[in-house]
Amino acid sequence: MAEEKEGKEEQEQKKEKKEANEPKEDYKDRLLRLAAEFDNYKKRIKTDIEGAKGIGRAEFAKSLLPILDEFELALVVVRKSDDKNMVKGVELLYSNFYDVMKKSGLAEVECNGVFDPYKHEIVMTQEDDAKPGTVIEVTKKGYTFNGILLRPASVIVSKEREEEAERKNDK
Amino acid sequence: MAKIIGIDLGTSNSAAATLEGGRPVIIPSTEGTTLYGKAFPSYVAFTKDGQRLIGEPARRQAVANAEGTLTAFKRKMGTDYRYKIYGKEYTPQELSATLLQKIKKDAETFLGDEVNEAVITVPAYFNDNQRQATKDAAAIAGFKVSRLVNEPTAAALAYGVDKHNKDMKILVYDLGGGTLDVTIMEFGKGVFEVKSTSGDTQLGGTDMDNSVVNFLTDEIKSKHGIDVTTDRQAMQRIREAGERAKIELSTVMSTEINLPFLAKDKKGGPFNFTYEFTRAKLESIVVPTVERSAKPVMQALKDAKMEPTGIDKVIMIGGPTRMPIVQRYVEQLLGKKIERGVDPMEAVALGAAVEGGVLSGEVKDIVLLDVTPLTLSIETLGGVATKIIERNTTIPIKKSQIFSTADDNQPGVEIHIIQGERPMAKDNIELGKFMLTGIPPARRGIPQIEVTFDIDSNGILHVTATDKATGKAQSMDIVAPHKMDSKDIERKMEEAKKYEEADNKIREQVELKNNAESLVYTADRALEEYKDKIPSDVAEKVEKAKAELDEAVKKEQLDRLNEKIESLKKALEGIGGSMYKGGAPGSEGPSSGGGDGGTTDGAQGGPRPSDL
Repeated sequence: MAEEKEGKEEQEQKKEKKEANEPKEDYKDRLLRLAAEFDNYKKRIKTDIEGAKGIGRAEFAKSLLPILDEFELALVVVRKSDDKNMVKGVELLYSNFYDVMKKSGLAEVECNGVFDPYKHEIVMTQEDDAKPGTVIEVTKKGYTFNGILLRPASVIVSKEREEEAERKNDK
Repeated sequence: MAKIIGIDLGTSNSAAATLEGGRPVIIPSTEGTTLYGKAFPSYVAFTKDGQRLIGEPARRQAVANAEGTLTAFKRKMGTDYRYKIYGKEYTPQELSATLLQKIKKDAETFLGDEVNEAVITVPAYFNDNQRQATKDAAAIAGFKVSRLVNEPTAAALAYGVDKHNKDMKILVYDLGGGTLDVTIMEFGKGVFEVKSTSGDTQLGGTDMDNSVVNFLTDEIKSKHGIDVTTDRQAMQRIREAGERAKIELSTVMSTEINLPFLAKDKKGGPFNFTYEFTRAKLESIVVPTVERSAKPVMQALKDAKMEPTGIDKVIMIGGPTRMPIVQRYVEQLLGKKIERGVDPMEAVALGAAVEGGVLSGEVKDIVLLDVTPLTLSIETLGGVATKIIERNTTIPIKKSQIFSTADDNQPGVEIHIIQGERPMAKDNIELGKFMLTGIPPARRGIPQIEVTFDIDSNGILHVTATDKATGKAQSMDIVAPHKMDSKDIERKMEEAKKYEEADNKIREQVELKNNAESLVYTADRALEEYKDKIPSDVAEKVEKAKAELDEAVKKEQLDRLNEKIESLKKALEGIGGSMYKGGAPGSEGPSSGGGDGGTTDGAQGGPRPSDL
């Protein structure tokens, strides 16, 4: 009987000890988790800051795109002038501006006929003899900046001529 | 502990968020709508050559591939509808699943870990079938749905409504690109209950954009007689300029639209369009659209059997609600200020992430960290408050700074601890003061007194001042220095703002005076120390400049101080110059600042630590 009682007491002590340790373990676990999360966070922030610098520059480059577009529109008008020196001067101005942008990482999106949804945006389709889905006109240039797509190129792609489609359907 | 992410699976845009350190953040989407890629358009496309496109790339090719491009399939969730594309059939669930798969991939890239569980939001009016379909879509994408949450509930969670320990009635105004949803909910005992929903499926931001474009093209036609509506390129530029102006007019009262070489004028020359767009004008254009939202709002109130006065909180979600006109209109309609502070485009996803955190137990695990609401400083020479711990610093925190004495042979320093944003000590709240005595005799600026502020996790501030030379220290505990209610803090901040200019002027003057006094002291010391080596004419010049500066300080002729400081500095340079000429080996050229060592707080401009 006494022995049994002792066993019970021992068991209870063990239980108490375990219960007393539980919150400690819990806190330790939480601390470790938080420390790990913080460590990971620090690592990510580091790459984020590097990324943010790039994105900040890209944002700035993007804000210059409308001006680049307008500059090109101006060039078209200016080239009609008879004042050759003035034309030359404006052309040089444009090429200086474009060079700075290019050296910073600006690149024109290529449009070699094949439509790429990751770089081009279709604004309309037009009947054409070219294979359907071919880029036949760029209405607005697209640009990347150090690999980041600033703006997709707006393009017109070909579609089958109606009579051609009908002929196929008849078959 | 696996992360449970939150997903806003929207009709036109989708976004996802996760908890990070207890706060929800948006998971960036590759190929997003912006450079940061936060949300992405809910588009799925199948191309003729068998590619599957999701998000932005799918939207970009929609014009040429209308039959293979799908969006707004959320509206068909829970029905038997089948989309037939190039001979294959897709259920709305399968299409939603492709969006979820993309989110899963983006989330895994962002978190660097597998993500298998999610909280997904659904409109409050979704029935059981639609909810089940959403769960099915998640299962197809490989997500276990921890819970489906109503979109307005998620928005309320993003605003932390559940943290208020009281019952309240919330109206959520969700204006998207094409639809308006109004939901009235009751919150109590941790549970949100939808009282009524209403809406208009034909009202949205797109209408407003079109109104702006129409206005601008009409303006061009009536004022300049040019029709640009057939010129695709011009129209695109007008649309973009209109959108930019709309965003800018949310913060400024007027903005200029400049579109050079927009078209050809009647003579075939270039036509440049400029227009001064005012907020008032923009509002007059979009008001007719905004006013249409009165009906659904009133309907929702009626269905909930409520008056506008019964609403405790108004939450707005959706991009167009960023416009001040929309916010103001709803505020006037309900006679209640709207909640602010969370991006209305992100609120739903953020709220879903909060719910995910609660479900995963992550929220419980987060030790909520407190911040100091006001700056803690000590008073330095001239009554200046020198900041030790800036406001909004997360606690526990420990920060030290080194100070020095203001007079020769000063035996002790008084540490005067203050709280507040004003630059002069007397304008702030005094928390306590104590003396550190027994500093060995030394010239001013030489002793190094380290003052440490240590706020523990209970918010108790321990201030210690230690003389670095003797190790002698004195300290003081200030219990709960920041136990102020939010109104007091707000008042203090307003005060600081109000007096900012005047305060800074006073502080500048004090600093100028301190610098002047310090320079006079340096001059005195230099004259004494090197009196044998300085030619009399140089010494005279220094004496004269010093006397003038001293007089200006004593007479408080603050406007003359700068000039006098400069002339004394110049005179002092003469000392150095003449001594080098004399070739005094190893002699230290007296510098204008004097003193050395220790960290400076930079405020004084000189190399000397702040004087106590």
